[in-house]
Amino acid sequence: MSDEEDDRSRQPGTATSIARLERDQGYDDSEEDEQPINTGKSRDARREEEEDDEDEDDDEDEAEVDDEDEDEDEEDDFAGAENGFIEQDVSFNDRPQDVRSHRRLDRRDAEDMSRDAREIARELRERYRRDNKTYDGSANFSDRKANMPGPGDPKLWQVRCKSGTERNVVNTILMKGFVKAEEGDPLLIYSAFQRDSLPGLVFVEADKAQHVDAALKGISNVYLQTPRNNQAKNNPIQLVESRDMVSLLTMKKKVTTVKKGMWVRVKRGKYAGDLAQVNDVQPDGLTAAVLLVPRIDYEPDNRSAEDRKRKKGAGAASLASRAPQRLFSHEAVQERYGRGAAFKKSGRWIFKDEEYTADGLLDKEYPITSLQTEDVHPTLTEIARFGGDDLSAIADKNSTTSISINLDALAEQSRRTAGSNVQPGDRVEATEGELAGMRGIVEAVSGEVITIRATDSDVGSVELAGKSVKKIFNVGDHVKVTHGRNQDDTGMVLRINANTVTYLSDLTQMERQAFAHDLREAAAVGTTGGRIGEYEMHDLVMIDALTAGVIFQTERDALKILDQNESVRNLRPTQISSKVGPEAKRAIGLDKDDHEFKVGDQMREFMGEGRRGQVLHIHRGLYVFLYSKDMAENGGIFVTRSKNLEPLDTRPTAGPDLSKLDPSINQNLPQYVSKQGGNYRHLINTKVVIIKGTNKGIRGMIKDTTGDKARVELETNNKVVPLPFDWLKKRDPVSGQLTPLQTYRVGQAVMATERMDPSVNPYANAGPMMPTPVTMGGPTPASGVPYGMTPNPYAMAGGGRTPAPGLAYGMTPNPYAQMGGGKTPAAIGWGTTPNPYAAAGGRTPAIGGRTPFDGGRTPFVGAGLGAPTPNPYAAVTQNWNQTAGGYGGNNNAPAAQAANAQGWGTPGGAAAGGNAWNGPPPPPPAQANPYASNNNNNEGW
Amino acid sequence: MKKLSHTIHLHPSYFGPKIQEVILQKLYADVEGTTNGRYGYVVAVNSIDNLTDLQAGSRVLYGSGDAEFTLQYSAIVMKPFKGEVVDAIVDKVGKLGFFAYLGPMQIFVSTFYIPDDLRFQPESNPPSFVSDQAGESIKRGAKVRIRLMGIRTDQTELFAIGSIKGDFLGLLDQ
Repeated sequence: MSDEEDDRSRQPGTATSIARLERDQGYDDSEEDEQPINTGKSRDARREEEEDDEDEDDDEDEAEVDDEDEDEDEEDDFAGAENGFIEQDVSFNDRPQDVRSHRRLDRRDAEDMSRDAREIARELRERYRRDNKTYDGSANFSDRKANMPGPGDPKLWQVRCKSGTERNVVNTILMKGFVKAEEGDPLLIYSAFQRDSLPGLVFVEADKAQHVDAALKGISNVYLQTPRNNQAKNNPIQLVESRDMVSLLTMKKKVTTVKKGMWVRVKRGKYAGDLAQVNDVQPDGLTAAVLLVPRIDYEPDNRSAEDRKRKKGAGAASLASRAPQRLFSHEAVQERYGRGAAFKKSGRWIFKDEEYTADGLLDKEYPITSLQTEDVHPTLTEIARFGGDDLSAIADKNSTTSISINLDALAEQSRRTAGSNVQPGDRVEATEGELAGMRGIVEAVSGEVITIRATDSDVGSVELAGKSVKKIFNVGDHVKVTHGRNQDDTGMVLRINANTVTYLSDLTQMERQAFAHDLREAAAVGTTGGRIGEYEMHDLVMIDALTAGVIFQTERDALKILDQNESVRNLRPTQISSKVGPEAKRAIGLDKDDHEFKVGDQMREFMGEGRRGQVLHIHRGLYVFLYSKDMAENGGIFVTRSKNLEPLDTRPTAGPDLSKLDPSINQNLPQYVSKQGGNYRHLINTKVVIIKGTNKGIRGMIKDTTGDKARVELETNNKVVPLPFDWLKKRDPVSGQLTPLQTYRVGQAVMATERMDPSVNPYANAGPMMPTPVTMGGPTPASGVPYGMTPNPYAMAGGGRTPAPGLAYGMTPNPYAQMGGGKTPAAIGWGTTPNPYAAAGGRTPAIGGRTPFDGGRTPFVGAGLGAPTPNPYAAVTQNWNQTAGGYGGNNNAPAAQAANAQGWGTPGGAAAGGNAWNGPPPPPPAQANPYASNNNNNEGW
Repeated sequence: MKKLSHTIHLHPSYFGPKIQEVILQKLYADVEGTTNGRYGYVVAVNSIDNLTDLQAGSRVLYGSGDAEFTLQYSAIVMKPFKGEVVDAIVDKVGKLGFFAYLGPMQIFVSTFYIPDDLRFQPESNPPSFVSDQAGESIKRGAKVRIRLMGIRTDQTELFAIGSIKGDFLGLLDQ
């Protein structure tokens, strides 16, 4: 079928689905009229052209039909007669035709005889000369325009048919044409064809619509009736505009060239999806030998057993159980399949009828149709397998091995398939066209066209196709990988080889390679928005049993996590104990007014910095992680207490967070917070006596607290029993006195009753704690515990030398005391300067509401004491008594104040303080005075 | 050494006798070890020029009550340039190259930028690059002269890659 009818290049196999029919029997008779070759203007010639334009990839049976046609043609046209109408004289025509052809042959012979041999040779050469110019399918013929259809030419008609049956319809038309011609009633159409790109349409070339109608009548799946619901298209046979005819018959340029060395993927079979390199292409262009990494089954027994288990079901199963890719190893094969299973033949191994190269690759032939040549995207990993997982080895072996793995070529290929991937600002170099080699900076990208401002010449801005540029980098550039295995990695360029770039990764400080087109210049290190394993940005994870955190940055192997205590941790995924499940998303928190809020709500910090953000997670109803786009710190994540939040739409914030700004407070907050776990946890290790229930009278020690119950280890039998707190009383180990546990809970009681979170306002807590004489006395081990709980920020700062004064300072809203050691006249601080603590108290819903005012107007305290300055302590204390007066049962506020009052001037021991509040009798003031040691420093008082 | 200025906002609760101390601490914390786009990495604050008349340029901000101080200070800054030749001390040696330190800056020299006659000796202790001819070796603690090929400056970090391939580069005499 490679022959041509004349010297116009007619591509083999192109005229496929065209059913060319004899229109005129009589025309056949005139075939011997010598027609000049290359007229090209005749209708026939034109049709030949159109025929050439036919779709190439039609299926084979049609091609065969065509073969037949052409064979006939050949025979017919031997004399060089131009015969546009084919044909089928032999098979369909009767004897007269036969005779005629014999006659023709005779005459041809006679002609040949008469001609000079050289001429014949020339003619033959002319006829059988292979056209060097391969047909590229594009409209490159010289007199293309001249062949445009004119008004006198047959028209093209389009007819609807059932989608999917187009080819069958065309075939049927062809058959019908044959039959009709035989019957002496030939169809009056010239050709019929379909396009794959236009489903449901068949095109017929004919002079009149009636001819088309006649030709299609009786053929199934063709819609010749006017669709009832579509009256506009009343004619089922539509004329194709002459300008559309050209495009209808123009083939799209399709370059499916398979070249040696290129990478392809196998579509079907055992190696489906595997990367292969084309080793050789058969001359016919239909099959290619490719190199594959073999999947030899070195454990056939196991695998086949598995297969049997799966009942040899779908191909997918066998695909899933195929052997892993591994280079051919003669030793392994011998071991598995016995000696002689594989043998060597001219440097190659033959095993199971398949050839393996000396490098261990499988050399296998595939039809090109079963190879995927586009969108191959080979990864470096896959390629590395070709060299036994050693990329550098491949590069080294490049010259010696039969496979030449040219990374540059590969990069080039994948760049072409992947597109240019350039962005404005990238430095690029033109690789194609007249500007090849020009370097410039991308100014704009619109689709595939990019605008480049040349940097090395004064061309100005030029537009280029995106694919004809490559990115360039300089040594020392900081780049980020945008695609591939090392995606999102960043590093500094170490060296550049054509298309591959070696960079030093920032995070691992290892050298890595990437294709230039997969890189872009980067500003920041690492990445945000990524994902490691099961952990993703903004996930709530448990760092340990008690600590939760939110991931705000992911790097290649590390996560940056902001935990509930506002500290940032850098952890590997393995160091995280667990991820909090999706059910946590339903958690509900209570804001400062006890209104519910949930994940996703926009909230604002009530106190503190007034940060606002969207609630990401609520951990234990207490810690709320929020995300704010405006914050740069910690990726916009911050953590706060739920009680410190309010909905975004209420009132403006109450000013800056003073507690936050004060360094001495900050320094202690986390410590406090971390101990905040449960409300009663400070009671752990307290010795108690059970006063109710079956265990009444038994002594024990609180080992743990859960909710409102204590787990008490009984002294008698070492059992641990859960008991409500009000069944317990603390027992003083020395005196044996019983005191209600409530006392210690006071801080929390306030919190609980007043809805106040201690972390929000440490002073609120500090206040209540202060008068608790137990803390001063410290005779019992238990008393130490409350101290640990005491959110007294000054205890540390100032308390190094003088623990007791430190505590006093805790109460003292006097920053100077801390810094200046009390040189500043306190009176000024109290009387005149804005008292931050008062203010803080003022905002506290609990005590705060009243405290400052109490402080302001507690004349009776000051008066009663005879102290000239307003005593802020009195305020706090007073408040304390009012709000949490329940503790101890004996609300001896006046006594306490009296104690305070006297204490100012009287250095006194604090030892017996423990009972001041708890014990029924108010102790002597001097003893109860918690400020006793304070006086040494604070003479100003 | 550069003269720089930095503005500090201070909350009223810091006002007091130690205010100067606080301001200084804050300045050190704020600027030392950070990178300034114009002057480079601030290694250390050397002196504060307007400490005595600090109050002259300061003011209390409306609204917040914070005090604003503008400090003029001179600091040792470091701004390496691409192509600059520096002397550094080798810190770590690996098969891909070695890391060297120059003050706060870490410099990586890849094997690619190490002359071919210097070969990595993994078995030596400490690991080193040893020259075929001269018998010199680059190991931890060695002084090398490096040309900087590329520099990355983060907010708090300086990192560079360098080369010792070239005339007069490489190991310095001890």
